[in-house]
Amino acid sequence: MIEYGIIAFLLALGYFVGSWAESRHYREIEKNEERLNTLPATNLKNHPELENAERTWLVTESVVIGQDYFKRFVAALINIVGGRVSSYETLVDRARREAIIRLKDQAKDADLIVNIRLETSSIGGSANRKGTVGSIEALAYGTAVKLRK
Amino acid sequence: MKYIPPKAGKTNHNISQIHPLRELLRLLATIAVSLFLVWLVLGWSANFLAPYAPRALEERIAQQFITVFGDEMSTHPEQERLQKLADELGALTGDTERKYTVHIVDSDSENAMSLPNGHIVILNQLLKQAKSENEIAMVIGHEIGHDFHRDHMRGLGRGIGTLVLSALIFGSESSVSDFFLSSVGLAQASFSREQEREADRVGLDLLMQRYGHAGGATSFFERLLSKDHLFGGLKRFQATHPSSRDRIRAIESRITSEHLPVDKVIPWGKAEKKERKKSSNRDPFLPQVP
Repeated sequence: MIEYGIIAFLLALGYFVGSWAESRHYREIEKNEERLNTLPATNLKNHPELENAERTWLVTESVVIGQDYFKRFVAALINIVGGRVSSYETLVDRARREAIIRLKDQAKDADLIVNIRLETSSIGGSANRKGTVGSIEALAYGTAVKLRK
Repeated sequence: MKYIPPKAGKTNHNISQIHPLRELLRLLATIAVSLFLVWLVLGWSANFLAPYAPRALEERIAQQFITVFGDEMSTHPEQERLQKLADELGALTGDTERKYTVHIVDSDSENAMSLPNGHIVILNQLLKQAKSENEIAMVIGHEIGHDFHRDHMRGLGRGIGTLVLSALIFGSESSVSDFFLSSVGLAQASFSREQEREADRVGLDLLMQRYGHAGGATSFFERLLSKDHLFGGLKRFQATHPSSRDRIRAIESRITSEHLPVDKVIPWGKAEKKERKKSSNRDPFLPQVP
């Protein structure tokens, strides 16, 4: 019986702390996206403005987001019956947006970031075992461009 | 190229707009319903497949349960007599393939059970309390009746299905599986009242064929009835078996409606010793009255 108690406790902890952390993170993401909105960032490789480039440099940023017990539990159940793994969607979404925010933060001096690429991987103790997901890493990289005045 | 900053506060299309708790409930309900369906199908298929179970499988299951209720007493003085009785009663069913093996197990409760592959477990206490060979024959006949209909396999069928399921979901080492394993051990508990009644019917048939009369058919249940009162009817036995009173009534109504003769029973245990003493006290020089 104690095992069920532990599972119930972890589920409750994962749900309450997890959703609190998630909504806080989303508020932060929205605030930072708003703040960095003026810096153009694109995945175009041949941007017309590149002709005016004074200098360009590589920017790389990554972020790792951990899941919680509740999300993993729900995902495990979805993996039995199939369907959208909704509990992991927010993880990937948060990780990618946060990575872009960090990228823009790093390229503060730039007028433009081009050729942005996004990659996602799962890392952590159990990441390489089949059927399990550890933490989610989002990696964003691109070319920061300083234009001639 | 003109840069237009994206508008903030738009709906996020990358995430599902479903409340996580609702999602969890939906999943749990889906899984619970499908497990229930599987459980139902397992029950039906077990019922259908039980009579076709290979004897080796029956034997393996039986061996696990023979000593569940206590230690087997292989050197019990009445072992041979009971085995002979079971052989005779078993031959009367007409199923020559089936051989019955009697196991006497040391236990404080007064009961007997039928295990797969013709193993019949008789608890020592029942032998101590029994007054006549006929009533023991009735009990063995009842267990043969269960075996004849493969009630134990039917009863185990869903139990085994449940066990396999729980082992798949919770792991075979978990306490949940242990729980199911222990409930599978009590195969007796899953017999329905109809199965018990049918086994009683077979028991009475065998008793009639073996002794030519129905004497002692209800003795065991009558003794249980007095015990039921003693324990306030809280015994597990009552929940699964038709009440002793109902069973006695059913047997007696058959005896009267079919005009079955009731004759003197063959004494057993203490009653047998008393009888022997009585006959040895007789004056050997007096002529014996037949």
